Amino acid sequence: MTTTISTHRSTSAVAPTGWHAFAGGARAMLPLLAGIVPFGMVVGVTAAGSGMPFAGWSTGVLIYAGSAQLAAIGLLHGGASVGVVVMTVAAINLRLLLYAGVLAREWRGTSRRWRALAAYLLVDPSFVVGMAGYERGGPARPRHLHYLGGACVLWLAWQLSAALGLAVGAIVPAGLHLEMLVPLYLVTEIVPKLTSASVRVAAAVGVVAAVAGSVLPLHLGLAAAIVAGVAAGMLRDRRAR
Amino acid sequence: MNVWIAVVLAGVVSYLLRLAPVVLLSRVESPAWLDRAGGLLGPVAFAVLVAAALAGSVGGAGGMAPPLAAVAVTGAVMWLRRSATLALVAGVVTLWTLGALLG
Repeated sequence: MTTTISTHRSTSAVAPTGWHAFAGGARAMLPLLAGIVPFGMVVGVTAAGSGMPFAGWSTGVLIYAGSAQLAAIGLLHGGASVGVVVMTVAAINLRLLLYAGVLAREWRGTSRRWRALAAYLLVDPSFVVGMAGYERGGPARPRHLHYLGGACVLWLAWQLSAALGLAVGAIVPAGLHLEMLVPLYLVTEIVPKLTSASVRVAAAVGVVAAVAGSVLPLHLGLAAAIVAGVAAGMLRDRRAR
Repeated sequence: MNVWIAVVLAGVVSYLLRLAPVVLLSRVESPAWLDRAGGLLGPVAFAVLVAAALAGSVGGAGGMAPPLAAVAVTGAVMWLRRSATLALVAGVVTLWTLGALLG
């Protein structure tokens, strides 16, 4: 995949770092894939069992967000209307709006083509890997390529694992609970950031709100909990000043 | 036919959710509060996803104890040793061991 990234901040960035940055992002995504690939296979298996295998698999390309894909396939299989499917997917994917809002700062000044591609590839794991790169600082271009490297590997692995699930069914024993690898990886990302009091407050409120909000329909609790956590952290930050 | 319409429309809506803030905030200076919120969003979103995964594990084999213990062990090892690999291995070993004992 090739794309042009032009950015105001990247004029001093040099080309030789490009491949290393891309490869670094791809490498950073690898630990997450151990948990993501089985999830992708579950989507494929679900699509196969829904009686609309190709349409089910194509949700990976078009919707590209696991939980929203599973909900869409399940609803379509159950005969839900177009409106219900679209509204449900939108509600589950609301958090992507927040991720995009944050990454928009980093992508300001980049080309339209880059922003169109980068936005398409945005989902939880690519946000995790991308933010880790952006938070390290430095010239913009290698950081964009770090995001792209992780995001491309993720996209490819997601489509292939769903296709594998479609073709061979569930071959990963459920007892291994590989789906828990992603949350465990996220814990390793959160812990180093807990040195700030406002982050601690924000994370704690987010966790409580997520558990309380797990009873809400359409995964609305996720977006609500993120908003609640961020608001609490900002309030703590304001009081501390 | 309706299936394809639903899948394509859901895809368009998902893409717009990703793209709209990127396009809108590229034309205007993002408000200061959004910059402050940006620093918090990553850790909060990750914590929320972990909590949602744990909440979703209720009722699984061995109940919530193995994943909860695995998260706690991963967090503790990460805090003490600052090694993501070590923390992940410790968490997975905890998950599988407790899962086998309680499952």
